[in-house]
Amino acid sequence: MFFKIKNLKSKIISGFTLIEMVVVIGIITLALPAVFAIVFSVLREQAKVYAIKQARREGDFALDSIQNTIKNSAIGIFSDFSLTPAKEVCNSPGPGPSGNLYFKSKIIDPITQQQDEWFEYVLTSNKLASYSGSIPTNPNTTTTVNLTTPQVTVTGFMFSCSRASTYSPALITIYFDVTYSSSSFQENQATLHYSTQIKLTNY
Amino acid sequence: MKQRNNGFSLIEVLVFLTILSLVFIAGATVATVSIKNSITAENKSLATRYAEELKEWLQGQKEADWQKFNSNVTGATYCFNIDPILVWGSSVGTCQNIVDNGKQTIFQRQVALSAPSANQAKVSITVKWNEAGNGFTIPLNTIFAPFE
Repeated sequence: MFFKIKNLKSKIISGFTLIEMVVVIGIITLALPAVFAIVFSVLREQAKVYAIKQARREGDFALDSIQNTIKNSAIGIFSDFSLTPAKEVCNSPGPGPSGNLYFKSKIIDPITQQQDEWFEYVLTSNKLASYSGSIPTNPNTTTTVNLTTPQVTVTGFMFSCSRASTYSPALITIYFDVTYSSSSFQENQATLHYSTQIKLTNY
Repeated sequence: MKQRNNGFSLIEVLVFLTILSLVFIAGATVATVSIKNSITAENKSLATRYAEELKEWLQGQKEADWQKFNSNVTGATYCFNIDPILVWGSSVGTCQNIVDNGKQTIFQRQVALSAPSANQAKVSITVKWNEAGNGFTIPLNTIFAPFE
């Protein structure tokens, strides 16, 4: 009974005046853009940090993986996956040829009991990949392992070898750039350079 | 008819406005500090990469030719302000900011090379930068030897 009366009463006197509405909407128009500006810049900064972190993670992993695999497993460099002695490169002083380098692995094939496995590094559709296989196969039937994900693009990939003297080990030069482009913030691009040289320790 | 007195008193409005402004100030401060920390994290990440990049490049030079590398180990400081690194840096005075692919950055990178013993090279890389009046430094120290 009491509520009924109150509701009836408030129905009559409730409501905002025009001036109240104008003031409230005015304050909201001032405050909302400020809030959005702050939120936007926080998000943009976080996206930048994320871009660099992601590019670093992928680049560090790729370089580490290439370095460790070559250090631990490579025993010879060839210009062809047939691994015939005629195709061996960087076995004499001077710079090696341009083109793909195939590393002979010291791993012994469990079936043939021979050291007939090879691996190489290639750039396919902006991804750094490791191909491997054993001699009788051709590259189309080999195992592929991607070292980077489609999140980043790898460019400027260079892989070459050279040798200082007959009695020194072959030297492998690696160079690549890793770029992370954020999809939501186009201006946030992080490009990192990776380059190093490593000796063929098992030869 | 009963008199209308359902408005707010001055005190109520003041208390409300004070609380609201405190909340807004707190929010703005949190956002500002968060942006500042993010920028610092971003710069630290980049600086660490620049330092590592120089370490990897120097390691490459060491692998390529220890004699040639060791001839640079004189206790001098070298500035590497061109990125990607292709040539040895200069050993003159103060370092210029790194130019990354033609783009000016806020980082200065230098390396001090010294020889603790005949077959060792102590490599001390420092990447420095200034951020809103505060100086930051990323050190990276390692020792190279001809065989490892």
